[in-house]
Amino acid sequence: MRFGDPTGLWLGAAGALVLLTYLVRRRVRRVEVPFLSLWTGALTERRGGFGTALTRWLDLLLALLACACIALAAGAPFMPGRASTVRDLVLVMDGGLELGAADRREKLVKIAEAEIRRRAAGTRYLLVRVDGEGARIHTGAGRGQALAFVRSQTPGWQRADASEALALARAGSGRLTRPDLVFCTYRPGRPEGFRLRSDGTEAVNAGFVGLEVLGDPEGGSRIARAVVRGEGRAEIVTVEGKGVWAGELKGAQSVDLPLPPSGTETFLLRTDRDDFAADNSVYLSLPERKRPRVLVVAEGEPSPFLISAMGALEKTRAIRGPLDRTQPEHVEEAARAYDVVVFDRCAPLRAIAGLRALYIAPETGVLPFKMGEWTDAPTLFDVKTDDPLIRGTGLERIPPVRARALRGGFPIASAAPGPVIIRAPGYVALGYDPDACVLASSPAYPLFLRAAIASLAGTAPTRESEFVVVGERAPQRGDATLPDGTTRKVGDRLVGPPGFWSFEEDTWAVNLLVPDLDLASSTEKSDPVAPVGVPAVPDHPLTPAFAGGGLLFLLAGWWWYWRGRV
Amino acid sequence: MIFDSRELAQLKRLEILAAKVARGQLHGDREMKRSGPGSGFREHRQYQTGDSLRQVDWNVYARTDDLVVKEFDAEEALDLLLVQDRSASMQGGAARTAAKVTAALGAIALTQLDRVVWIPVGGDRAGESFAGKNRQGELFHAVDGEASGGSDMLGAMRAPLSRASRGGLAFVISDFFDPEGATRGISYLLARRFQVRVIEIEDPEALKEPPLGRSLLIDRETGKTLKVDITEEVLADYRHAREQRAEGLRNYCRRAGAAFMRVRADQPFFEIVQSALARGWLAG
Repeated sequence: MRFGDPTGLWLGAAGALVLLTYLVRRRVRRVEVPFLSLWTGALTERRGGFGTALTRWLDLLLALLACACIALAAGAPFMPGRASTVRDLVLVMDGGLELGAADRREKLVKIAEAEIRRRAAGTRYLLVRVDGEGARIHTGAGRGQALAFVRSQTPGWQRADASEALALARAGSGRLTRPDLVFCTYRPGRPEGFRLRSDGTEAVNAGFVGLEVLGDPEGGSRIARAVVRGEGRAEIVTVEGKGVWAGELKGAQSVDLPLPPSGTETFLLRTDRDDFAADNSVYLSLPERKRPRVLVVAEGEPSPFLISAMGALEKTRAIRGPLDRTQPEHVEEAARAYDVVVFDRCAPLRAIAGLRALYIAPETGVLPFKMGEWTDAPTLFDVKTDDPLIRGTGLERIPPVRARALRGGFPIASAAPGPVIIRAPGYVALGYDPDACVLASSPAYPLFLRAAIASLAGTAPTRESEFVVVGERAPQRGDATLPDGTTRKVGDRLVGPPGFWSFEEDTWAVNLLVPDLDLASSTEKSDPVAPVGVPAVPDHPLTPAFAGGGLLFLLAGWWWYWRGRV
Repeated sequence: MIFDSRELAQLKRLEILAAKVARGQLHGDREMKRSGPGSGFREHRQYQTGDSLRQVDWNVYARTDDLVVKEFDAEEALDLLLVQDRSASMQGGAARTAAKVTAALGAIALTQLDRVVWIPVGGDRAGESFAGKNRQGELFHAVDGEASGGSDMLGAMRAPLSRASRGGLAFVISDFFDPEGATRGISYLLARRFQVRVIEIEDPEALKEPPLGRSLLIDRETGKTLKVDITEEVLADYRHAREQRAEGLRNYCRRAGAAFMRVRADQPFFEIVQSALARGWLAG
């Protein structure tokens, strides 16, 4: 058993304590007596007193505490966060979306192979390959099988659930002997200032937090003044990959981006600190609970899923037919009358300028409306799959979808509230397209929509809910980074006190992180693909304390005995 | 030599004193249960072939023509059992006093033609029996040994007494610091029909109380240790335990019918033996 590393430090400290105790012990006088039983008899009588009984109980308590502490320490003898030198190996390979890029995957496989080769020949393995479709598990012993398993993995196209992978790995690792758990995943580098949370998750908060179109739209000299927030090196590129800005981010700063004379431009923010953890959307619920009145604006027939999702909501009204420029006043009027306006399958650019609604594209903010003309109604957009902005976007072009809100004091729906849908390797679609993607068969999407609308309309079940977080298919839990730098735990709903969220500032961002992802320790600094070693058996954070306490109790008991008190 | 010249003179006086005490009783007081040569008439019985003619009661024959012989009670020399504690707890004055008392009692007994059985408790010497005055020197040499070993009095007596079919007079000279129980040896002797005389030797030097403070007490016999923080309260309890033990031994002897005498280790052996003689302990 070892109490942690370095072992010598512990042993040295314990030895020093023992030596010190020995040196400072009180010497006793040695007296020969003809018949010791006379003394023991006398002392037995004294031990019958309350004080003596208390002393005996104290001795017993010390002994029991020492035993308990040492037993606890023996049960989890690893130091938290320290690599362990154990025999067996649990290797979790992230085969999810982030590893879809060929170069990343190659690195991942190489690192997994290196981890396997580094082990002794007789090492037992639990190999877990996870992606959005679940986990594949391979167990056995011997490098050959393990390497074959690693090499046989093809890239997955769905996001891996890190928490599920870790839970699976930890559950399976129970058959192994104190295994190491190596989680091979995509992970950004860890430049200086990268924050590591106490729960092992990493905070990533780079991204667009605001975008304002300036200039004369008719003059052909428009620019977009984006507020970008983040840490470290970043660049902004167009969807075609043309760089328009590059620099070092440190907090929030304003960046002017050139806009084409006409049409739409999409900007992508690339940083070296993005990860997959921020793919969430945040909606602000209405402060009052009421039954929502929902206006559905659709080009053709509204999605049956959408209608079914809102079927339980009263006063739902759908406006059918294509949107054209004759309808903005009508829509605007309707928007004022309804609690929620849902644009179903509408191309953003075809939204009417006077709608006073807001659309935020996944990659960047596109504001077809003038500032200050926001609608009072929460607005939820559903993005058409074949939107030119996102159609054919390669995986490498997809930045994390940031939950964000713009000033104006009203909630903003993310353009991509639903899960990332994989249509074909290399291409993704954001949002819901019942005709073109497999999501139609997913029962989660209507539920999501309904929950989102209900939240937008203030029908959240509890008054305390100021915010609701709508993430991927399953509600996520994690930490939210607030503008003031503090963090708050969020669950299915992001709960905060009234007025907690301030929209007076131009910039703020909320990033929800995948929980239970123990990216606890790594010496790797720059390679974005790296194994992260964490104990497969979670360490009790008090293990060293228990072990130390046990030693101290033992020493105290020994000293107590040696000092000769009876 | 166990006795110096002065003490030898004292011993001589003790022998004379004992002779005076026992005069006229040497062949008369200790009656045995079987017939044999002696002075006390017991009964007549018919003459049998092989009987000595000197035993025939001719007066009866003259009166009745019956040839009978006279039977008398047998009178024998009595065994004196001397149990001397030579365990490690008996050191210094206690050991010397025990040896001298044992030697003096044995010498007196040998002078009076008694057979002396000496059983040491502790040490590596086995018990021995002595008879005849000319063996006084051997007895003196035997009892004058080094004190060592444990206080298993019962164990020391079992083997020598296992074949003894009759009791006698037994002196037990000890401090009775037997961890297994001070009275075990006495009980054993009483069970074997010995008349037991108990001389408890109390050594003031050995029982001297240690000063106050932390002490490591070491048992002389067993080597066992005990760490004690000596306080006035502990000392008081120790005294109480000591008195209780002494009182318990005395009460046991009284109840069991064993004569008891407590002497101090620095007390002259002459006084102790004289006191025993005065109490008639050697008379049986």
